[in-house]
Amino acid sequence: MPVRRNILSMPLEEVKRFTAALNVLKDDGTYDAFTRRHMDAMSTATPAGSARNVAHQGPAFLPWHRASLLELENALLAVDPTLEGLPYWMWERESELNGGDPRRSRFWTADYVGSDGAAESGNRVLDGPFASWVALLHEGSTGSFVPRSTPGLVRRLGRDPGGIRTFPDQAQVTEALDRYTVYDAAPWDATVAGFRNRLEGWHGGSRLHNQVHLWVGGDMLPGTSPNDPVFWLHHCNIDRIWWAWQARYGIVYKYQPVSGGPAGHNRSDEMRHLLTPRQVGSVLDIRTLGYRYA
Amino acid sequence: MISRRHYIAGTWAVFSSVAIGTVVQPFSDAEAAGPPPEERFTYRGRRVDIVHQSHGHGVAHAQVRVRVNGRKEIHVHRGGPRNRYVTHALPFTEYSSPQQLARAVIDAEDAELLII
Ligand SMILES: [Cu+2]
Repeated sequence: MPVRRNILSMPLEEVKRFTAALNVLKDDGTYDAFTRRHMDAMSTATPAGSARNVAHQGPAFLPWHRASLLELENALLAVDPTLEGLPYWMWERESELNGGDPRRSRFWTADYVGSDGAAESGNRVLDGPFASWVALLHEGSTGSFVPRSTPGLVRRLGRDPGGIRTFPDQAQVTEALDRYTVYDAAPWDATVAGFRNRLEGWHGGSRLHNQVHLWVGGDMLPGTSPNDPVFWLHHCNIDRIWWAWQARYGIVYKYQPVSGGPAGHNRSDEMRHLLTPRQVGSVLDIRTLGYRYA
Repeated sequence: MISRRHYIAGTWAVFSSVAIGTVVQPFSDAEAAGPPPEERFTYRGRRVDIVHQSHGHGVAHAQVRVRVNGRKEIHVHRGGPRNRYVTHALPFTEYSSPQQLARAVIDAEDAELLII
């Protein structure tokens, strides 16, 4: 059974095996297909003509990303069966552990995911296990994907003009878990004062999930954000926080809507743009999915 | 509604020679209160056209289109927590106005994060 652990608590040798497996998936094209599916999901509005898509700004935000994480974890384990599971990045502790400056975390070193982008080199990440990665850019007018002309991921930690300078902390996570006892509610969008929308980061100002994307900046800003593997470590932590909420308030029955919500977001609806289509209801209980959080 | 928009567009055209080429004003709350008229501005060498298409339900239901250099289009939709503007090109925040959204997407293209 995969055990998902805090990447900063794992032995470096295991971190290296994890990043090596990611590199195998990047080289054989498996990885880029994950980035493509995420962008395709982002571009699939439900209903057509609304701001909500099949994986964001609606109740299935958490189940869709849980399913996608599971698919990546399976692909990694197929490459290296000795891996314990997908690691998570506990970003809510980073400010406190690093004197108020999350950029100083060893997470942003060559041993883990590589550094911040180098301002003098177009904000490219020049070190670490993904230094040679070529990102897949989405061309909005044609819907096609084009590899970036030069290698190197783009990061601008806390300094992207298109992002945000502040970083979420433990108090924000605790507040989301304590105060938001309803999973979601009509109209099932970015306006709702429910747990999903708080964790996604729309309700009450830019928070949690959205805030981390915006703080990392660069390749974490567009719909192709899985280009940066930080995406998975971030979302694994989101999934862990959701599981903590589920363990506290209810696992399957607390999910809303059961019916009557937008297509792709009801409990028995099929989620689209995954490797394997799955029902929302099939991913609610992680014990049946065969992994756990340590 | 239509005639009023034409009037505003016409009024705007009188001043357009002054407006085009000047620094784009940062967002103000007045901008978010309702869709401004059709607007054209230049940003980082691109000509941006913002077009509001009413569906007969008033400005709250007007659809916005953002065209770049007359050929390309930026995805934009009314939405987000405050019913402002969102785009799946940069999906983790909302924008106060279509102008602000267009500028952010153009910035992202120049940073090689996406292609319009
Ligand atoms: Cu996502």
